[in-house]
Amino acid sequence: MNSVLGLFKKNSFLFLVPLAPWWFIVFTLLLPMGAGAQESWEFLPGPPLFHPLIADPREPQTSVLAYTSQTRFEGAIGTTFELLRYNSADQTQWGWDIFGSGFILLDQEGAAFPMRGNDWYAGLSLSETSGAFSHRLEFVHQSSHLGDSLEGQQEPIIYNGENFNFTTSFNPVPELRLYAGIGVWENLFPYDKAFFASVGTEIYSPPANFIGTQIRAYGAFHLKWKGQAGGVLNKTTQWGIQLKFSPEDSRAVRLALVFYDGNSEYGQFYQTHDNHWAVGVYFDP
Amino acid sequence: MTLNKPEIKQQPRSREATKKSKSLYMGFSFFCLPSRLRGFVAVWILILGPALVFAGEEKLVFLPPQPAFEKLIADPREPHDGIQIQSGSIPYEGDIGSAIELLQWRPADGSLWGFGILGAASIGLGTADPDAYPKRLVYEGGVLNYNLFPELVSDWQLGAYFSQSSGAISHRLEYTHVSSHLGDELFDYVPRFIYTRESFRYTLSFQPSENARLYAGAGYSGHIDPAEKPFFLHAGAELYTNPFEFLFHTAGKGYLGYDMKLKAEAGGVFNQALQLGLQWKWKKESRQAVRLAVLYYNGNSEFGEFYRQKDEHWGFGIFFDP
Repeated sequence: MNSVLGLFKKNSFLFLVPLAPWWFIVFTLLLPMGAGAQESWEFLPGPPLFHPLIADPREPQTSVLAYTSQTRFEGAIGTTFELLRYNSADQTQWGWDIFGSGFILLDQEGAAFPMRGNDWYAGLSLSETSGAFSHRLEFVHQSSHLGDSLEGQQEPIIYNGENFNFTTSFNPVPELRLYAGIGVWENLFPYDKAFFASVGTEIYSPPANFIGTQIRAYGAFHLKWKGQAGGVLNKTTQWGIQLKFSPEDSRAVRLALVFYDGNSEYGQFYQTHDNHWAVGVYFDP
Repeated sequence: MTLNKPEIKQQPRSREATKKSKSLYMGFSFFCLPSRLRGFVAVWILILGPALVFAGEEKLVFLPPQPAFEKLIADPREPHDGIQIQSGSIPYEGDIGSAIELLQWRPADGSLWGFGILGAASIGLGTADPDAYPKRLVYEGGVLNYNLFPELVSDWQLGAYFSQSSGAISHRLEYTHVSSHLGDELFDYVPRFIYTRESFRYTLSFQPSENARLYAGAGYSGHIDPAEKPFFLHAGAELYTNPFEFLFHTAGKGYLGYDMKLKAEAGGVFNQALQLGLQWKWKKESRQAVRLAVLYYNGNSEFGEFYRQKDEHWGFGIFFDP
């Protein structure tokens, strides 16, 4: 018992994860009291204010990737759910979200797809948008687990932690987005350097009508630097097409060619170099 | 807040234009494509081709905001987002998943036809226990390190479905691949085996009013490993109170969900899941909801790696319906 309490004491912010639902209730009860005439609150407003960073391989997403350079597959299931939104009198908007995602890495042996690893994320975020700028502050818990197909071949490591990260995004025109972020692990095991940073861009072609739907090409690049494992630079690029029913919809299907170079994003293999090409299909909610 | 259904942008097509579109299809030599491109083209023809031939009152909507078949909220393996704290051998469970309707055909008779994909992941976590897995205890910096929420098991599913709704009746035919994986915390304790299922399942749902829904279905696993009897039956009910004003003019509803599955596997399994809770929305007509519920489950475990083991537990869950 003392060990458990000691762990919580050491990782004080870990309490945020199981307490998330209660924050939400308290937040809902207290904040609307201060709303003035020009301000408004929305409970469960719909798609989140801060648009997902589509090139970040660890953004909550729903996707399937087939590696073309190896016989390997990845699947991702993820969601971001905006709980509350505050529309202020000065036209800025603030959102409070909860999110979760799971990532699975599979080998292929004939018709079987043995699991190599699975990573899980859960967290809370505060976001704000004002004109072309949007910002997001996240608190994230991550854990990584060795796949059962590697049982007996590789010893699983304990890989988990919690970090805070902040991202600023600039969207001057619908065709261009630039963003940058920094973060720090409040708790990370295996112990390692705690800081990380990222930059990225998304570039879209003008939309075209395609059999009653809207289609546009896009390219996206995401660069992530991590202090851990002696300094890691993970690069992801995506080139693809995005298909929507109408321009204002958040829902989209994307088909993309993906290139990744760096250390593996899967925690169990974070010290292993990973370079691969893949084709992927993404379902944006 | 209401979600507006997007209106289709295409113009009604004349018979000549439709005929021209069809002739374009016929003139296109599909088989001259490289083999790798054939699948890609076939998928897009399947998804978008029908848009060329619909006319008049019919509508084909790509990525509609709401599905033709609403999810079954009491089924523990319906794709959903939720967190549960429960008694029994798996004290914490997290679920992430959704059904994404890719296409919805809305014919003039008011019915809806949907085609979509579904994906979900469920993780079962244990309780921190420094004596549970001594090999993974690490003393570093004077601190004992171990997993606070050790992974016991994870299940993953991926599938596709067709659905239809017309008035109070709706149907769904789905094909799902499920695999289950032993958590790395148990590698030294529990023998792992390969658990996969590829199943067809048909469900018929009847919703006579806003307050009640009944459903029943049957399924068959075409591929099942370990080898077991492949048939299963499924039924359930959802009951809702009338909406009432809740905190700060939001809308609340009490609800009760019951789900039962009869599986031929493992010598015959009868799984029952019960939820009693509160559904909380911004406005009564909103789609997005948060549900808080007390849970009861009795049967064999829904986690594949433990499908032969009895599981009876109470729990508390919070669910997020997008």
